[in-house]
Amino acid sequence: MGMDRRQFLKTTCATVSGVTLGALGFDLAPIAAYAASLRTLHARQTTTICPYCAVGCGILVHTIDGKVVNTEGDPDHPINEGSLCSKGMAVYQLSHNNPARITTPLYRAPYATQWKEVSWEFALDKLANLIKKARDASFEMKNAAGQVVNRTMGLASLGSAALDNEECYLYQKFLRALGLVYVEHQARI
Amino acid sequence: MSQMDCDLAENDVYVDIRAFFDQIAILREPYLRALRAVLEPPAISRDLAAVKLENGFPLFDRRELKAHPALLKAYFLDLLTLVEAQKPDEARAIRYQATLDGCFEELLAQALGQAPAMAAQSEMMRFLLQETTHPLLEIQAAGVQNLPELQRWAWGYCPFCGDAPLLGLLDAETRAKHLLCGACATRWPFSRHRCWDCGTTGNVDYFTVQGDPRFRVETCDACKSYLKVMDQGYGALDKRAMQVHLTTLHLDLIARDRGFNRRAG
Repeated sequence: MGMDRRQFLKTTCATVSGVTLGALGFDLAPIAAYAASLRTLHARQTTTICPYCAVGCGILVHTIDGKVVNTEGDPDHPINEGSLCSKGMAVYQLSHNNPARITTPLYRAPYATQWKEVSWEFALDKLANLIKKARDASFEMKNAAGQVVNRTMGLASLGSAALDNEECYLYQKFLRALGLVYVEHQARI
Repeated sequence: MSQMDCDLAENDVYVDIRAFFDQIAILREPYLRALRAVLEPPAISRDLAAVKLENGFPLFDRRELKAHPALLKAYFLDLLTLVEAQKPDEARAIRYQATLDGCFEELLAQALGQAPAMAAQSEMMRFLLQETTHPLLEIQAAGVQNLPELQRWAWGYCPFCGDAPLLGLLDAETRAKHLLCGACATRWPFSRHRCWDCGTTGNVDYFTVQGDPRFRVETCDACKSYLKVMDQGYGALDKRAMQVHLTTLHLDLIARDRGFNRRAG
């Protein structure tokens, strides 16, 4: 630590409300030597929202070099005021520190016994194809009474609690366009 | 954290400073009792307090403080005796100055009014005056700590006397942060996401010394200020803030070495 005695005195002057311990006769060199010998850990505190239910509790995440080292309830968040449920308290386990965390889409082909990692592009294309196939196969233009319904009873949707109002609106609009009748949301369960 | 880790900051480099503050504490106790007996609570109406606090003005004007010169002078001279052994020449000069007719009263007025003239005084003199006048503020501040408006104060300076905070405190249970005034010992809640000095919100960078998680030093890249924050999950604050501050100076040095600073409290 490049600091001579003069700088040290200036330091304490600024931090001890204009008073230096040196002026009171204390030998400050041992403190400077002690400070120079210490190892420090640098961390960053970031705010986030719990990914689980619709309550949307605030969480403080502490990271060192981009890796999560601690999570805690955000005491300044108006919703949870620092408290968390058992799932929220365990959110640390969602981070990359957890070797069991799934980080890529997994696909199990018909009749296969193993899951395999696939790309997001593959997963989204596969989902779109299967939804289209199921929707087309089960689409009803008219009901038994001959009334126009343009619906599918072969698909259902359960919305994620992590969706906000606007996302929910767009999502249900998309589902209605497909003709879905069974549209539900986790927050109501 | 092991006991050995806990003892890290209680190491030998602060032995003399801790002993010095222990001696001050012995003198301070009867001084506080004597002050409490003669000081009247500050006459601040609830309405005025609400208006002041809502608009970011500290409640108390130090210049309105009614000092008791004889009482303060006696304590000042007692403190002087403590430092006399270490700096006899300077202490003798201060003793002479303080015993001149009307001189101590003038110094007192300067210290309470935070007059620019104080900057010309020696550091020892400033320390002694600060140690003499802070208990006055502390007693006055104690009378208004229950004001609900105080809990809504969102600024980084003391809502009672306007000083900069000396320390931050993390509550062991709620994990909420409070700032602690080194002058009048007022604690007020403060956001965990904001810089106390420039008010920048968002990510908060901090460092700790390996093996001693009791203290973290929060730093702000926007204004280059820092604040030592004590995590009371590892033990409650049981000493004066100034004593805790002066026995963690190694953290200030590390912060300064990394380019951070703080304005004097």
